[in-house]
Amino acid sequence: MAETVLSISHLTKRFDAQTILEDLSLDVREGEVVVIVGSSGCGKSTLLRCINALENIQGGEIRLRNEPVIHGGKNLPELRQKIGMVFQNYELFPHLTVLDNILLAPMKAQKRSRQEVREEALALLERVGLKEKADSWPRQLSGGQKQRVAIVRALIMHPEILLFDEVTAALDPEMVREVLDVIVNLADQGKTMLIVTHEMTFARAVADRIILLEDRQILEESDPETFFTAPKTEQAKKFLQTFEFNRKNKAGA
Amino acid sequence: MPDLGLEVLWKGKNFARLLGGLWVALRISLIAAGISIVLGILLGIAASRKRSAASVILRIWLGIIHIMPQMVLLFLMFFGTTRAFGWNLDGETAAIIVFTLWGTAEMADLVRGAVSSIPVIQRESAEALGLRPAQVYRHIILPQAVRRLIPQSINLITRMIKTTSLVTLIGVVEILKVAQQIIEANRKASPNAAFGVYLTIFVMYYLACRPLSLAAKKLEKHWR
Repeated sequence: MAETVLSISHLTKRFDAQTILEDLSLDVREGEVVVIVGSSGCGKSTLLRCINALENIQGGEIRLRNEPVIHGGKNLPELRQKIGMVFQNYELFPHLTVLDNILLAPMKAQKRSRQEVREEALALLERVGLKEKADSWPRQLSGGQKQRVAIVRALIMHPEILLFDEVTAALDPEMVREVLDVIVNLADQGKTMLIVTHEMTFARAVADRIILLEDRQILEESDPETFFTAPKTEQAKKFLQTFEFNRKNKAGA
Repeated sequence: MPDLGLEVLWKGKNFARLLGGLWVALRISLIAAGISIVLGILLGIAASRKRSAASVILRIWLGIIHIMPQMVLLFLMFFGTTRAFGWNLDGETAAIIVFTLWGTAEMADLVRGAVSSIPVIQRESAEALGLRPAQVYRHIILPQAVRRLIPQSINLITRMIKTTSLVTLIGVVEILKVAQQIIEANRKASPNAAFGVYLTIFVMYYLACRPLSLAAKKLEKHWR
């Protein structure tokens, strides 16, 4: 079995008196694509934010390749270089060109030479179909283009794991596809990924494992076929029903 | 055409004296502005952390500066300190200190506002890339904050230049004082000199401040 990249054990996260995640454990192995689904506000995004210590946690432990990830920890910048994160609203830096957005972290955090990363950046941009946008400003790009740049910005750090936080939720429908195609492509290349999404067809296609997060915990965990065709729990059935529509008086229904 | 009394400008060294006066005004305001920008940025960054000691200090400092007319501050610094502490500040030094106290407070508040206006998630996404906090400030927060700061800080500097006309009240011979001297000296020969001389000052202030506004506009356009 492949090595464990990310290991979350007994994670508890509270905001003041409200408990968001409770005693949650999850392992992600190398090359695995894990998709997290669940109703809005169930803590999916918070879970991702805990993994790279953007949130402090109230209990449990998160380890990346066996190294503890600690909010405010001393080696946190080094650890975060190994955890790529793509946000819902892209969060490109508006004062930098597309290329400089991508080059900033490898040059400043990893001290790599501009020449070397520039070549890699252009190659990656080409792969997501945006090579000619290298010198554009973020404001000149569409949402889908921005999100693809954000993915390249995360990829160029050569992370051990990629976290995707509802990366198509802010996009117009016609742009969802171009972004999801890139992610499917990364899955085919064997990247380790943890994906939060509301796109069920995408989840089914890309996932090695689907996790339903509900009531602060992992409620159901299975391969995508089982999850979508034969969900075990009542909550999973209910959740999946929210994506189906039926007209009672329609002929043939 | 009415007599504007412009001829006094060409008498003796009057025009050069006016320029000299303008230079005094600019020197005071630009030295004070320079120090204010440096100190203001440092204090503003420190004060952008909520509930920090710096934010409390800045709030109190600003409160005082906002309430006190600049003239009172000038009198306090020039006459008050001589009586109370035996300091013998010359007028220009006192003026620079007062303008710096004022400029630093306002500049710090502008910086604090600009830094706080950068969305938290911009910082988070930079941290998520593995940049250290100092690098996040240097490459993400400050460049964006500076762009938002330009219009208001230029406005602050031009207000400082204009307000130098008060320093004549603590005996500094700047452009306005020179103007009054010229007008007084020519009261008989050119009774209309007041108009011509003040008009000249008006143009001089305009020419001194205009390049700043132009530079600001250019920068804003460049960074948009």
